[in-house]
Amino acid sequence: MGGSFDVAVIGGGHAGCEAALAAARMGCRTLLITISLEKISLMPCNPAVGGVGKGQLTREIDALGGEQGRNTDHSCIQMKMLNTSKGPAVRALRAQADKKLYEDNMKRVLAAQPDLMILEGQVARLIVSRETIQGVELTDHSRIEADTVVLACGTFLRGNIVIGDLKFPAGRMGEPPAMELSESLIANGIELARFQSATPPRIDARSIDLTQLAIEPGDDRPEAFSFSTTVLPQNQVPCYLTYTSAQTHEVVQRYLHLSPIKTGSVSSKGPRYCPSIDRKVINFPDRDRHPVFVEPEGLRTNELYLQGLTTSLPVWVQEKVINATPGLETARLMRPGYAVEYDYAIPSQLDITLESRVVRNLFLAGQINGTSGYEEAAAQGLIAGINAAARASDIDPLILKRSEAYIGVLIDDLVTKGVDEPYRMFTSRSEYRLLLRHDNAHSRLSPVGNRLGLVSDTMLALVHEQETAAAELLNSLAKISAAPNKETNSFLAQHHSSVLKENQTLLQLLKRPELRLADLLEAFSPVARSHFTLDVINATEVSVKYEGYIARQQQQVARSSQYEETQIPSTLSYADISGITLEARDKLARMRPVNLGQASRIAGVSPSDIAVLSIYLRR
Amino acid sequence: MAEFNDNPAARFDTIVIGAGPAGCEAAVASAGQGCRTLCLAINLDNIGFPPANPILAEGADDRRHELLADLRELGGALPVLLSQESVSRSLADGTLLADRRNLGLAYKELLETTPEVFPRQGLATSLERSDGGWLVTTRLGESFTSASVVVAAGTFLGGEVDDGGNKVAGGRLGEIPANSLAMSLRDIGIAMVRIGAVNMPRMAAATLPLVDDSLLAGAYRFLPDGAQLSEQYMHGPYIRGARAEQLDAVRDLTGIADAWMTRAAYDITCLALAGGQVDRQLEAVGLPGLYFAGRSAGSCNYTEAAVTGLVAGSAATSHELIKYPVLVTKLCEAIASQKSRPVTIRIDGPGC
Repeated sequence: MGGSFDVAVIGGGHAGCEAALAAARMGCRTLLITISLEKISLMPCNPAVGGVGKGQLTREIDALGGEQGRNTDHSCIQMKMLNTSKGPAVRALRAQADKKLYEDNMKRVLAAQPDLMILEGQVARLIVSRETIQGVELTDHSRIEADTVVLACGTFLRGNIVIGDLKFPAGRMGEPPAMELSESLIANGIELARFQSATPPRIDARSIDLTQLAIEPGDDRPEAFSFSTTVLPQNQVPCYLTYTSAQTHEVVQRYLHLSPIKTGSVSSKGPRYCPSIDRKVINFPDRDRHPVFVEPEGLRTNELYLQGLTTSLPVWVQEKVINATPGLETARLMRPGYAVEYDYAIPSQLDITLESRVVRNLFLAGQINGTSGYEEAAAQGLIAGINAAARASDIDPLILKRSEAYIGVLIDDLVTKGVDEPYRMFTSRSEYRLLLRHDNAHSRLSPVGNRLGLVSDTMLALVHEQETAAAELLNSLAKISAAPNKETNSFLAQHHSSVLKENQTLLQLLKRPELRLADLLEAFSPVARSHFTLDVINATEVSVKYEGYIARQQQQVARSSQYEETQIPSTLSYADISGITLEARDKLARMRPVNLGQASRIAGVSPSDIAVLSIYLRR
Repeated sequence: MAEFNDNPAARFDTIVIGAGPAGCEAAVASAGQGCRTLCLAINLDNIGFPPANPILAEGADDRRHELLADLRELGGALPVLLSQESVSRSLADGTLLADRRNLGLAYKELLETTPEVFPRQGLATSLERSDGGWLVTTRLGESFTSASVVVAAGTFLGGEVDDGGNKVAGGRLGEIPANSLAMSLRDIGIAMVRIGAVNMPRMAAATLPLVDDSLLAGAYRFLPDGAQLSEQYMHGPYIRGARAEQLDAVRDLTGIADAWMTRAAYDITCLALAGGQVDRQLEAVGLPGLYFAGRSAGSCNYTEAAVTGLVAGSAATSHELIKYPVLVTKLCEAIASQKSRPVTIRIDGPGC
């Protein structure tokens, strides 16, 4: 129906939107199919984008020419840089977003994108012939022909909502699940498993006294995710913070037997790093309080999201738990929290390009690969869309290394190690986190985006301009001196730094951990301070303060690059290799790693197996 | 199992089931009388949202213009929301078009900021008499009591969606129905009939040769619908058949080989009152305190649903018999009698 497409994307969530936009922007005739066109890029859970690890992903998406960074900037109602007092490796941007604005902005972008068509429909079956995708069939029996397909259907596959002892089919509250597609995936050799995810209750802002809660404001000088954002929306609103108390926990304990965790009506794994309050009370019995962030869901709504009170206890228990929480005693429920169980496709069945190894030209992205989070989904969607387009256009796919991007870490982790619980990105997942920073994402990845046609020459020029400016600033730091006079020493004393006895350059002063470059420039070279942007100042500061550590990580990269660059032919017969364990042989044959580095990360493949393989490949 | 909530927070003066235009107007009217009003919506994201037709009044002669004026006089919300920028626009011929998304968001904002209105996400599954009033229970086991109930469940009451390939239970495409509630109404003696509606196709605006944002082709008129996704609503005689057939038909009709259909037409059927179930104040005969509004009462379009919502919500809470303008009365009489279907007074003639 409607002619043939180069790329068909199934699912209009965070992964699907990135995939569809990337493919269309690379010149492919692209179709986005989704169950409801009213629910594009929905944020069904936290009204936030970014955070530690996740913010790095969103930044990288922007650097590559994806949409999430820009869209977040346009719909944000609070922006905060986290961990500013900690090292640059963990510094991450986090935005609260107006959910409705986020959706509407994304819809506009989709509608305005040349080469992209959208369709409201539900996919029931993959059309596969000779182990290659041919298209999809909808529930109304319409058939769509496509050269490549990106599957990004989120939590809808055979979804069940669980609250207390109630369990019923649903993709999200109020929406039926997708029942047929899972069968089609299984029939085509794609192995599925089950995960669960949960969302907290929403309360009515009119029912509590916000002045009783601690305010969590955004940054005074908010930064943006996207390089293209010059001005952020002005109407920033605060979030609020309270804590559960012994009384709250007592209520949870009293009714814990009604939690699906205890009743066993949900047996699948949930996200470890987003535990329910039921889970927290069980796992952390000596904690006397847990934080509850009260987050507005938008500028024009009174719904407040209770981060930290995720639960699938019965609704009447949820109300008791909330009302037993300090500051929320009078809170009125607007939406209950609940858990949803769904099918995901085991990601170790994927190639490092996110292509399925059992159905050619089929790519999978997002929560369907066992991840959790809008950022993780969007990152996979971007790569899957790029690679589907690459396949359709017969060009090389994009594979990002672990040393190049968090996106590389994400995909390598999923594909090489698989998942046993919903995967969430953290900075600690990267061995090169000092190299993969918020401030250098565009330097790392915009050239890649530009080569793919996703980042304009103008944008790339801006990135280079910033790099040049940083080099210029660095140069000038060695030339600006501070004299050991009263002004200097008073500045130093103010910042708890030892006095000067002789002239020192700003470069030397910058090496002191307690001194920040922005402050130094303001004091000693106000002209420079106003000449360079905060981004440039931050980037330069990191390169100076962490010079040694950065160099060390770069050496690590060089050392392991030998393995990363040793390609393994896709036709290699592991059965012919003697000297590796049976387990290693089995795992290698199944996972088909593309290089020795990836092979070394497969569970069950030991360093000695790698050594043997390395020698074999050299012959 | 319903866990009876003994809590005063679960007691209301009025419970409105459904938050489409009828439910929203009923809730606001009830709250306007100072009554504590619960408004249950299956999905709080879809409050007030016109799902199908963006046309609130067609042409200058459509009597819905008069109804809207009456509604404004009676203190109804819809006319006020429509005057907000980006919520509606008037075409040269007097047709009033809603931006469906923005109108829904405006209703949501209204419900959430009107004192005494308590919007809550929930699927009502049963309705019973209790202690001289009513007891409403939800799928998740919540219980609420009230003196009055307004049922404004729209296409969700026993809803079935037919997308040309499958018939599934649904309030709309991609949304669950309210089937238990329908059974519960039957159990208390409400007679209902099955009525139908068609959700017409939408086209990608970029693929049509529009003039002044619209297009006339044969018996059809394409009108702007969905500013965000740049779609055009196809208005005219019902179109049916498989999606591919519908697409071919539109391509033939418009002569545009590349015209793209973003949403295909689909049929919905749902349950609504049979004749004689309610009086002119929309109160159920023999069941004091129970009111019906919107499609559940039998009205067939958005504007008239809003009017009936105001009538039901006012009747549920006001102790005086309200005298309504002629057209409003005529609409309520038509609903009470259900002598002709579809029930509408929008033009002096058939059709919806």
